[in-house]
Amino acid sequence: MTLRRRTALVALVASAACAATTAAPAMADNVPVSLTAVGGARQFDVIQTGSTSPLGTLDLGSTGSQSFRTRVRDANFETLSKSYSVTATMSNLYLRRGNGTHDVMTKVPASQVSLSKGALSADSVTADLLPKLSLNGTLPGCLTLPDAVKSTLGLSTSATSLLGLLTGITGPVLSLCNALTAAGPSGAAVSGTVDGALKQVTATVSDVTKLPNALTNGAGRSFDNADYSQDAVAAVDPAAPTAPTATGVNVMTGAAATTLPSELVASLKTALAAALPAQLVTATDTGSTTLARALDAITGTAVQTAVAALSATQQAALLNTLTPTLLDPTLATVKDITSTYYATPTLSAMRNAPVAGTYDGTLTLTFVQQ
Amino acid sequence: MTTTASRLVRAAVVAVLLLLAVPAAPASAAGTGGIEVTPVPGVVDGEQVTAFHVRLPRSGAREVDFALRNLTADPRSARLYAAEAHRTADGAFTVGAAGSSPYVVLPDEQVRLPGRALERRTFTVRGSVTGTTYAAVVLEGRKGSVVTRAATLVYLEPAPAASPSSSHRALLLGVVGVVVLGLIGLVLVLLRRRRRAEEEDLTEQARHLAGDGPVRSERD
Repeated sequence: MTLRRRTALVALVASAACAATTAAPAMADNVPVSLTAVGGARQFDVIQTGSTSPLGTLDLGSTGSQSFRTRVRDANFETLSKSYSVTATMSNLYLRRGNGTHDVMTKVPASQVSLSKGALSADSVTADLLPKLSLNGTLPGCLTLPDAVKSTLGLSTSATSLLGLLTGITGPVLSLCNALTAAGPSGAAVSGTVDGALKQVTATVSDVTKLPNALTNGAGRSFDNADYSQDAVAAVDPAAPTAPTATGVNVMTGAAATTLPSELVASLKTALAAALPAQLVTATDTGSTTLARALDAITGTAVQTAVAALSATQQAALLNTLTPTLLDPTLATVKDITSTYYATPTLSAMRNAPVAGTYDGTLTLTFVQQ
Repeated sequence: MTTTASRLVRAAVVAVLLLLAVPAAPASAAGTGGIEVTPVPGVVDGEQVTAFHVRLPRSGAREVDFALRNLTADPRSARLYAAEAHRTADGAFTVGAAGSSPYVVLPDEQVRLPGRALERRTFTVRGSVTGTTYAAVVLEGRKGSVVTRAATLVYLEPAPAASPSSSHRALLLGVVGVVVLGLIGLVLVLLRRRRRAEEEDLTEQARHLAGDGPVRSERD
């Protein structure tokens, strides 16, 4: 009998739970959710040295060398935790005939063409940052509040006892004073971290290794194995079918970010401190944080509830007695980055060609986003 | 749940999904020539996705979504294809020629997008790999003798290990059910025997009190 009763009970609970799970969503209202996506992007291109024009030809001329620039442009790019790299491959250079065609059998091998380690540079870094503020202090008993706050709360500034202070006081202010008195003789201690309002700030970096995606490049080297895949003449080179994998020469690498470099942190923090409003909170939420976020730092439920019941002006007066400290920006607080990164390598070819004349080939620059 | 309730639930879920789906525009991505390739969905586990992470199917093929976006106000063109990719000793990647990946199928074509246009595309993955293998979806632009490529990596993972088929699962459940029922039956039989023994003891005691004979202890 007991067993039967238990079985029946389990079945009842199970069916009730089932009914609750299935019935609840049917009763829920639809809540429209909208979001304006920023749509960050990272674009790669190759430009001429000293200008922003796209690179179309590299005339090595009589000197046998010519520099160019690779450029990676971040616009509100969010994913800093992944690396990227740019690698160059080179075809053989084939002799151009008088009629514009090429002699596939007369060539300067790619192994006699090299790419130097180019200088790296970057523009200033603009970051969308979510400031973090450490909020500390004590909300003392009503009797010891600063006079300006007392006045905003409608409390007497001349009362010398709590009883005298609260005579005739009702409503939220009375609740607040009671809650602060109940919190203890020293009042309600506040210690917490709050979010500020999203800010866009710009920082300069002295060194490309101090970028969020620290920039490095390889030592430079020759193209030992030619790339036969991107050049129409190379494609019909008898050596193409059995050619080994083309030699890739590293041009630039943006390392995956794990932390923000200290120099960048300092620069961003200075810019952030200048960008944030001086006042912690205002009645219209235009301070360095909002009333709601500052309230979250007050952990005592009774005091928090009592402060929340005050008018916005009264809340601001009370919360501004606390001390905010701007915390160091971290990778997590950087929402996106806008900047441009450059490498300026030089392509060089040995000039001891088998036959005098003009030789043409194809340089391929491949950007890889991990 | 009634059919009406079921329909309401489904309608609510679909409505919420639609509302959430509208703003799911591409976020972080990489490209060249003003066009970019973005994996879809663009955010996984709260993180922007910058590469494709694909588990190959155990058999057949699988479609993988991506978006092509023209970031500029003017029409833009680029060559689009899939290629094999290899990780080098220094951690960088080399990317092969068009159509060189045996696992990723994407027609080699010239794409042209109107200004600010967004197009949804798919590529197909197939075959089997033993460990993480790389490929890339490549956007290529050519100006004179300089080729510029932007490759979005495709991380190909082996197919998931075989799991028991549904018929195997049903058989396993049946066996477990029979064993559980058997155990319950055994417990009931033992309980009944014990109760019968207790009843016999009580009868024996009653007879003894009535002078029918000696009471035998359980130890006897």
